[in-house]
Amino acid sequence: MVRAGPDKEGSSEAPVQRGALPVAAFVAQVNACAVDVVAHTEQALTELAALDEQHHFFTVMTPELARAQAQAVTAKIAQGWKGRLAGVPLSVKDCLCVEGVLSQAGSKALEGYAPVFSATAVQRCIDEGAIIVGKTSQDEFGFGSFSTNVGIGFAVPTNPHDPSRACGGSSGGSAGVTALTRLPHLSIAESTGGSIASPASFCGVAGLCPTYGQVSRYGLLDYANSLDKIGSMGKSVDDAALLLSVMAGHDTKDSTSLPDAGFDYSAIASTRAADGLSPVEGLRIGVLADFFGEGVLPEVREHVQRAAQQLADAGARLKSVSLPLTAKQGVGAYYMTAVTEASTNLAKYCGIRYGHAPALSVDEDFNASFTRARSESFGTEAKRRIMLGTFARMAGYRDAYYIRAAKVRTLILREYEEAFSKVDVLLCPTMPVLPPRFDEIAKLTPLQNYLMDIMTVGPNLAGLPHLSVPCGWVAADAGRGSAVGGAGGSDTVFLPVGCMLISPHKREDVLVQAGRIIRPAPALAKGDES
Amino acid sequence: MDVTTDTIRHIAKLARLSLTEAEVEAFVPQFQEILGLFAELDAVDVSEAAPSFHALQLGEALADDAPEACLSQEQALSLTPHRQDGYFKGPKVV
Repeated sequence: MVRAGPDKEGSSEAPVQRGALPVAAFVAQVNACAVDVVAHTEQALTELAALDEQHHFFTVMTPELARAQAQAVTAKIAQGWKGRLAGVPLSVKDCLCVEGVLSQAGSKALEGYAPVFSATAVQRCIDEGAIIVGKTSQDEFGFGSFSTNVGIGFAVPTNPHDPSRACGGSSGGSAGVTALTRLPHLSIAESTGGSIASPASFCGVAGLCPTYGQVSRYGLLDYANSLDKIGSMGKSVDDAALLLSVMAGHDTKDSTSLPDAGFDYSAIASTRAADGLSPVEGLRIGVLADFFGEGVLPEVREHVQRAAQQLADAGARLKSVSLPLTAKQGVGAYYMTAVTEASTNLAKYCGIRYGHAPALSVDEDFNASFTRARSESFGTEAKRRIMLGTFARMAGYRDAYYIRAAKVRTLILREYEEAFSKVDVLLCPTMPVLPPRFDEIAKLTPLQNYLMDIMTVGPNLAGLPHLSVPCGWVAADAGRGSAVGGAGGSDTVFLPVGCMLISPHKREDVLVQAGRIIRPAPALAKGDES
Repeated sequence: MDVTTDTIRHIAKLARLSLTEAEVEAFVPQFQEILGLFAELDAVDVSEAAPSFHALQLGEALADDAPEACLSQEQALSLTPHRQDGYFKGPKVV
């Protein structure tokens, strides 16, 4: 039901429409020497520090690095240099290495780790003139869907629209800060099973997770090698697309980097095709029937259906599509694969070469020493996933669990292939619910947590590019005991709903063209506050 | 499968983790529940499917057999207190 409440698109208070220039327009001004980058960077640092104090979006802020980069960009611009991200404040998920900056993947296991090199994705942004403002909060190593599984000693980021609720995860800080800043901003995020789409949906920003192998994983503090993908977040689909285009490309330092990696944003920068037609004219959109049923909040369903209709109104053709195997077995196949890979990846954290390095004891051999360093530095969810993965790799169980999941993955890949023989893009909600309150999350069992990823695990398992784009707002009660409500004392908050689009491998261009059609609809009243 | 506190302790040992009694007790029902999810994969007929360890067919990525710049010994040792005489210092072996 559409309530005569505030129209979030038209309202001056609309959380994602706070007047920040599109990043491309800002960059054009910077390159034309029309912006004082040093002053703008100061302004950004001040604003972001205030947001961080309220919401814990950053694990660490990097004002000194930002100021030095602003000076360097200013000097180069004065000499006629132009950068594709010149002067743009850029936040980076904590799991990406930034030279000389604490890069801890939200984990005590990487306590004090300030790497001696930058991740390829980060370096490409620096080379194009981006200003790095800080590292963003996340679930430890990416182990979560709400950014509540932070490592020992880290703060949980809170939702930009209601601090009693979660940001989503695991790239929660990236999404939260992108939503709230009033200045142009981009954020490097990363997804293993939905860690870009989920927080983008819960915070009301665009989150673009590319094809596996599009962006080099060199310098990523990894979770699961065959699943991890570095992607982008922005206030708009175009902002996110611009950032991806800078990061994407082949890298010999990553053996899984696609030989033909690359995403050409300039080719689709215009919202009109050359013939003047809508770029989505005739585009076949597969509406994923499996993900609109039981367990999906009615308001979420309504908004996402409306987004599909917007695409139809722009010339796309809607068709109902089903992915029965992915819907039923995707979560199990994903988690089996992810925890198995995680358990081997995290074996390297032993307290010797970097990160948490407790004093050695003459009473301890290798096993005792490693065990102590690991046990006192991993949080509960990290321990749980390492244990689950270790179990699945145990002699006698490997074939029954890990290899079986890898075979199911093959069948899921085939199911997508079949679907993409009939349609160009798949569409469904990103998350089945609104951003949950922390007290609701605390009541979930680990399995119930994992099941929240039902919409996002499929494209991640299949390495498919996917985009979460805000498609509407739902009015809900502010969390109990929270300070939300604004100056007017209202206890109503507006929470975003995300629509997810999935394309075949290497077709990020179609996602961008379809995603930019979708506009957030007016707020719905939430019928069933649970 | 049946998960007991002994199962959890055994897995923890293999994973080089020491758990508190409270952690062991909490993990038993949680693992039981999660393994139930994994067991649902048994219902899928995978007889015709080869395992996929990646989503995309990636060829062998081989680097040229040529030396290139890498971290200096100093850089490699710069991030830990456990170093001595230009080497990492580890726990005792014997």
